[in-house]
Amino acid sequence: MLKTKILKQPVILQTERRLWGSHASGWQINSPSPDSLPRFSTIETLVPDDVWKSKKTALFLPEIACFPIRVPVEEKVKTSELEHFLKWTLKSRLPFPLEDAWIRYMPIHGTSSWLVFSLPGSWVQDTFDFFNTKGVHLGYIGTIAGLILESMRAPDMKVLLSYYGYYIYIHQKSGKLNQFQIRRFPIKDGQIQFEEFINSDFPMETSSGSQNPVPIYCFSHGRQKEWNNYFEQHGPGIFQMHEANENMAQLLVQMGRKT
Amino acid sequence: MRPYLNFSPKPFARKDPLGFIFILINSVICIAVILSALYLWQIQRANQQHSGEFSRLELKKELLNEQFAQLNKDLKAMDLRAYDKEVRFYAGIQQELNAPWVNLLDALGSALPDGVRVQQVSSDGSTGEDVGQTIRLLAYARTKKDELVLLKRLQDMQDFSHVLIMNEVYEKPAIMFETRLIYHSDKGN
Repeated sequence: MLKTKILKQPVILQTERRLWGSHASGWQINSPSPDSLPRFSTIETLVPDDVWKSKKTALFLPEIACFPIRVPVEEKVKTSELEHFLKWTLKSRLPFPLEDAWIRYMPIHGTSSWLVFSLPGSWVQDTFDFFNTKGVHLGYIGTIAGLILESMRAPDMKVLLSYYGYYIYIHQKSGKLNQFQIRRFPIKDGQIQFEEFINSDFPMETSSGSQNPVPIYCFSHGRQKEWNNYFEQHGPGIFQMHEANENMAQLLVQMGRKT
Repeated sequence: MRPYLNFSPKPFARKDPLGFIFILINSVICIAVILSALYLWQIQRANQQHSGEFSRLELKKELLNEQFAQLNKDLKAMDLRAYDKEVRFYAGIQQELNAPWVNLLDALGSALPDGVRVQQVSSDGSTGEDVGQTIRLLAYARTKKDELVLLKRLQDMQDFSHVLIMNEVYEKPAIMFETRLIYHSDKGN
């Protein structure tokens, strides 16, 4: 699905509760500090040696850790001043000092808004340097959604990334971002409420009846089972489940192999 | 433009096929521009050389025109007809001076009878190296007999040939006659 060479390198993927790797036959460890950025200097011994033997690695973080925020931008803002304007707008919305914020952004087509991802620059630099001292070139630090936005070239492409507690819906048209939605699943008794999700939460346009099913990439074992149960009961309709993998990092690598 | 959402301080090199094509096309355009510039430079250089040669030829043509005009002017100034007339005049004098007058007059004097008086002897110029000098003789005779005696003597002399009476006027008390003859200066000696 993704035309990128980044997924030809070994990848490390952090989800809400685990850290996954595609090195060798794949590995996973429980995230020592869920919902926060991983400190590899402290978990160095927990990850397999293969990680430090590889020359190159890509690190994928959960989208929620990069604070994707939609920022309206006034027309009078010049391109050269855009980054400062976006940072200034994010001032009260980031949990780390603005001076330390590194941001990446892209326009949302048909609107005056920009989608902004942010990370603490000190953490990025420390992580990069740590890998570097180990002889590993950390050439990609980002998110799966970010990689999709960078790499998808289909004329009209929709994709749903399903994590344990939230989902991300991306709609790209002619290489331009039309829609980016990140939301928590409606959950009751630990289960996704599919009826509520599809009928009210899911932002898909319902005007045209002959739409292709939206592919789902699920990066949570628990939710994969729930989705499978849903499809067993309802069959593919609006959604279509893509093949699963025991290792989520390898599932991500598979996305790069699919055409 | 592709979005750039990578936070790595040193990203993997992006091998964008479109970028490669873009670089390739730019390289081809650059090479084409360089070749065109070189070609243009060569054309300009050749043009300058040809222009220089043309200028030299133009200059040479102007000089030749000036020289030709000057020659024409000099030629007109020379007045060839007058020159020719002058040459002929001096050539006549030269011929007159070339005539062996002493011997001629001696020969004429020896042939003159008593009744004939020579009024004028003139040379008409050389008839050629082998033939001799054409002489015109204007004389007065008391009688026709005296005139004929002179002519007969001249005809008999080796020094003269082609003795012809050109003109004869009877004027009392004498006969004026004009004779033309050829004098051979070398035969008498």
